[in-house]
Order: sequence, then structure tokens, then C-alpha cells
Amino acid sequence: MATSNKKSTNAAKKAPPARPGAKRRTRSGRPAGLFTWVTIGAVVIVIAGIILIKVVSSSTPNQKYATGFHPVPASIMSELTGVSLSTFNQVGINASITAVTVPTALSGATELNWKGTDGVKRPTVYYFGAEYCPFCAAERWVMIVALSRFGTFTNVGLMASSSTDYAPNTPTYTFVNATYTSPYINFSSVESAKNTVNPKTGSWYLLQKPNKAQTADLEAYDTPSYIPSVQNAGDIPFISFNNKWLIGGAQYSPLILKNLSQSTIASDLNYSTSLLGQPIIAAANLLSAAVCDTDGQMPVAVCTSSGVKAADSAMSIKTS
Amino acid sequence: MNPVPRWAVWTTFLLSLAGFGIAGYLTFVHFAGVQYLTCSDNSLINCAEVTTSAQSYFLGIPVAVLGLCQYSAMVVLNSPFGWSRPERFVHVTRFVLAAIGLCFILWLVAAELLIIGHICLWCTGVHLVTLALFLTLTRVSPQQLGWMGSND
Repeated sequence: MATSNKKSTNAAKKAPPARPGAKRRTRSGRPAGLFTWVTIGAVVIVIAGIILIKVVSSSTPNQKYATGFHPVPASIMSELTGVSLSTFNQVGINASITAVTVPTALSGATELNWKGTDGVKRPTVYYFGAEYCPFCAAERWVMIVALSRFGTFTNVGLMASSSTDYAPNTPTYTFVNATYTSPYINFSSVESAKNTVNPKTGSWYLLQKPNKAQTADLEAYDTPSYIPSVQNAGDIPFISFNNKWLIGGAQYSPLILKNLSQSTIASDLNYSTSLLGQPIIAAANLLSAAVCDTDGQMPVAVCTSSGVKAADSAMSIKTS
Repeated sequence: MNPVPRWAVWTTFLLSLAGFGIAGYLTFVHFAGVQYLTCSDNSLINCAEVTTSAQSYFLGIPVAVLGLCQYSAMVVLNSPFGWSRPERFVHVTRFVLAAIGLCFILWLVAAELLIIGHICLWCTGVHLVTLALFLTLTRVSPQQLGWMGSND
């Protein structure tokens, strides 16, 4: 035993010192950086997998809301319908970054006064558009914000304009299943086509057909002779405020909404200084003035607000 | 427990402070509004799109708040005071929290790329800090805690 111990001691004494830079190994034989390299490897594999999935999934056209109905979440709807009177008044009818189109007056036409879902005839706001259309996409924001001052929308859906058209995938909504109730006005809408192309026909999938009255009004007034901003007869969107005021196209550029989501835009609506919210709120004041001019200036709180009064001036609406 | 080198103490502390700062800013933006968000805006990078997405909440809690809580703890745990504590659970907690943070950022990266379709630069800053922090800890914590045995 003594000899053996002596040999061990000598061996320990003769052991060469560890070279600088030599890999340190643990008693169990694992390198000290094993955890680090395993972590790096795992992270690289996961990130590579995510990127691979992203590349594969984006190789096919990604048209949002191409199928099914996607109800607007309550949080977004409350932001759309909950813009405060002070925000409307502070914004008025001007936006810092873009011009906002004023509705065009129409005189001498037969008022629409169509029946609502409750069978009662009221002054009618008539909208004709399509889900693929980027200008309709921009204008629906204004319509929901403005008309919610006079009544209540239900069953509005999330939508995006065509991914292959101008201002692709503009975030918006669809009125395809929407209902609107108001003591002052009725709302009649036609979403004429989906946001996807039928490969068999090469044109948009058809969605809702206008009835005779809707078709007649569209053909009669959706022309450059009545609406200067319309380039060709039948351009969309077309909005008639009981045939007293008309809008053809969007009141502001849909490019403002590019690369944003409904929730992002909606969360900016109640900020009067928001460059994103201003065009929508300013246009909504103009639409509100058009509605007030058709329904006898009701409700008073809306129609006498300073934002709507500013719109009245711009549209040369005389109120008592 | 084995001692840890000074470089690791200061590296983890500074990384934790950086993570705390960015998470604090994102928390402020979450509650104050996206108009305070300073970030470029194009088809790939869009901070507002990410920070207002459905994925910006986890179990009903804003992810920015979770990040701030995580880094509040990490600043304490990775401070020279935290590293000097003799209690083993302090050091195990540090490593476990960092590991949870790493798993969470991998989920968030996947959500950004695959669900939201945009990347938030501020969030990416937190992700890189979290990754660097965990990698630093993998260099020292296993040995400190005796998980790999002492060096020969």
C-alpha cells in the first residue's frame, strides 16, 4: 500500500500543467460550455423552423378574410362607435396629412325614404360597394364612425381589400351581414363582390345583388355628371344620403391605412391629434352633416356640435 | 456553491438593466398609446401592429407588463448583491426565470412572424437581451450550482 501511495503522489507531481487555452472539462467529462452550445443550437433550430414555415406559408397568396365571416371584436366596435364629441369637435373637417373630400349636393332628385328592417320609411343612407375595393375599405371606416352617432350597427364583419389591387389588403369591415337600427334614418347596403377572384371567370366572386331601386339609383347618380370625383359611371363606393348628398370614391386615401390592423387604427380614433384618426373623424363630421341635412337635424346634440357645424359651412348647409 | 467570475456578474447586470429599460418603455406605450411609439413602419417592421395585436396579451396580462416584471426581478437577481447571496434558491430562480424568458421570446418571435406578420424592433431588442442573458448564464450557472461538477 505504501509503495502504491508513493507512486500516486509521484504521478501527481509529474503531471504536466494544463495548457493555456486547453478545453476545460468537468469531472463528468462534459465541456464547461455544453449548456451554452446546446442552447444556441436549440434557438437556431427553432428560429430556422419559424422562418421555414413563414417562407412556405407566404409562397401562396395571402388574402385576408377570403372565406368565412369574422365578426368585429367588441373591443374594436366600442372604439369605432365610442369616439367622443370633443374629439369630433376638435378635429372638425380637416386632417393634417391629407385632403378630405366634401360630399356633393344633389338637388331635385326623388328622396329615397326606403323602408327599414322594421318596415318604417325614413330618410335612407344607401351604400353600394364591394369587399375587394380599397376605396370602399377606407370609406367604411368613416361610415361606421359617422352613422354610429345616429344609430347602432350589429353584425359588422372584419374585412380587407384585395391583396392584388391598389392599396392591397387595406384593413376594413364588411356590411354583408350588417344590420343598422336608428330612430332617424335607415341604412341600405350592397356589398356586390368578395375580395377574391373567381378563377373560372377571371372576375371577382359576386356577393350581393342590388334590388331594382338600388340599381336604379346607382345607374342614375353614380356618374361624373353628378359626382365630379367619379371618373367613370358605376365607380365604387357610391353613397347616397337620401339623394340629397352623394359620395363617389373614398373621402381620403386608403394608403394611409397601409400595413395596419383594425385594432391599431381603431385605437387611434379617439385622439384628435392622431394623424391616422384625423382623416376618418373629419370625414365622419362631413357625413354627419349630410345625415343631419336629411333627417331634420336630429339628434340635436350631434347636429349642433361644432364639428358638424364646420361641415355645414363647408357644404353650404343652412340650418335655422 | 462555486464562485462566478466578475465579468458574468456585470454582464448579466447590465443586460438586465437594458431589458428593464426597454420593457419599461413598451409598458408605457401600452398604456399611454401607440402615438408614443418611435418605430419605423413598413411591410415587415411595424411596432404598433405587434404591440396592439391579440398576441400582445398572455392570459389577459399585457406581455409588456410581464416583461417588465421579469426584468424587475432579473435586475435584482443579477445585481452584485444578488450574485453574492449565499442562498441557493436565489441562483436557481435566476436561471429558471431566464430559461422561461427564453421560451417566451421564442413564442413571441413565432407570433410576430407567423401570426401578426410584422416585427417590432423594440420587442426584438428585448428578445436579443433575453437570449444574451440566458447564454451568459449557461456559461456560469451550471458550474455555480454544481450541476456539472467542479473542474479538474
